[in-house]
Amino acid sequence: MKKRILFPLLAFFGLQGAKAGIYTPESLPIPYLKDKNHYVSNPDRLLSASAEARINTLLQRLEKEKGVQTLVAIVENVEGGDCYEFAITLGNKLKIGNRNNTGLIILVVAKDRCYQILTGEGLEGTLPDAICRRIENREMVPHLKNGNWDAALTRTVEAVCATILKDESLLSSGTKVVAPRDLRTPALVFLGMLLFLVPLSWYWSRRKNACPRCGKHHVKRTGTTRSVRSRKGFIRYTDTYHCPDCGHTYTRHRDEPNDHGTGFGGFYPPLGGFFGSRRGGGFGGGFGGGGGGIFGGGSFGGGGSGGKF
Amino acid sequence: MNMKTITYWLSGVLTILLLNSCSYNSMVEKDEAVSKAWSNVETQYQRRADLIPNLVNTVKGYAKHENATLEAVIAARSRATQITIDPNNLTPEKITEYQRAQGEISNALGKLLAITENYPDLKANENFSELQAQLEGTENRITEARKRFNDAVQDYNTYIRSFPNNLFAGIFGFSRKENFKADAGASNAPNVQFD
Repeated sequence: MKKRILFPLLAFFGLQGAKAGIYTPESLPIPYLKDKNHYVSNPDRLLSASAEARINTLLQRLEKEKGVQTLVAIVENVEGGDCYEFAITLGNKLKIGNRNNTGLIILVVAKDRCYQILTGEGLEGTLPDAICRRIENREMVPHLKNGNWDAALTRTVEAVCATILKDESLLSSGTKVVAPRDLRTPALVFLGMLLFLVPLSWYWSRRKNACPRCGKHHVKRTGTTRSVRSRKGFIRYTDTYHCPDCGHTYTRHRDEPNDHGTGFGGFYPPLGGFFGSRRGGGFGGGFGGGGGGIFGGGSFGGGGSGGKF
Repeated sequence: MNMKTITYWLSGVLTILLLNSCSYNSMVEKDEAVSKAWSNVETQYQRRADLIPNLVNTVKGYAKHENATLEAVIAARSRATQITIDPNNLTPEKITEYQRAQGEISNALGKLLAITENYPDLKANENFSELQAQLEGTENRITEARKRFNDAVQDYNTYIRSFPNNLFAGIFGFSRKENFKADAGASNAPNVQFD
């Protein structure tokens, strides 16, 4: 089932990549949004599957333990040929990182021969520009020069992870990614209320036309008299009901607010109002992809380091 | 009936007050956002200024004969750090002055980095490479901070000039704010000479 959905999707992205060739921050496929364990965007298949898997494993631990959301991207060309511009536009567009802004982008563009490590604003202390440059100089650039993309990115991610995991001040607590649960809880509450309210309103409307003597539901209201004010602001109505099945006739009182007929009171309007407000609010996406990840609103201020190789 | 008329009038006045206070609060908010964005711009420029002594000392160790260039950087830095702007008083003249002083640092730094190309030992120095990374990162942060400042200013200007806020903005003393213009040198293509 999953494969059946995934395959056309992959084919679509593959085609798009082949057609576009040069990626823009909008056209770069982001697998993380569909699978939250998949941090690598590798549309041109420059990385081997094993390197991709290794990087994904490392970055899963990083997100779990330190709340750092990472995007590793390696492509042939980007529009404009400027790694920094591409990375910062992408980062601020997707809002990689959570509320503590601990997002991270590692980008290599093979044909433009540029690379960039871009740190989110909350990560600049953990991973200062100088450290990024050191990692690039030692772990990335020598391999990039040989065209060994696997080694360049794997070793860079390893070094970055080691640096971040060493930082005691970076806690996973305040940085937990609750996004999927965040959306599901209100949805469950909403469903639960629906399940509760619908039978209740049905029960109420049914009870209203049940005959107290024979219990059948064919009672008809035959008349209403408006009587004295029962409480302040309320008017008492006396309804006369007749049951055609057993011939029983009886009366029932009801108090209605004296509101000049604005339509408040009763049971159905709140239900309607409830629907209206929920629909108006909208869910803003988030279902759809079963195991998809959500970027939590991180922002990038330009920290990090990049260069040409 | 009489009671009703009073109620209608009262609710009318209340609505106006409510609308009014809403837009007033938004104006204050947007005004504060501009101030905050401005302080961020100053922070990033200051960060660059703080990097300069370290950079100059590192270069000095390798390039002893480039004193003129090094001193130009230090002079530009000391001139620029004297100019700070109160975020609540962002006049166009002051922004231009600030921008010019910071532009001088940029020029002097550009020259300094250009001469470092002639010293392979310096370029191979890891400490220098990392300093350079910090400098580049800071330049990027400055660009980003300026962009955000301009966005905040635009948001604020659009808000106070649109109807009906423009009616109240004048009364409350919210006036149009100035944004950063592109650097005078930035719009010209760099002059490359081969000799």
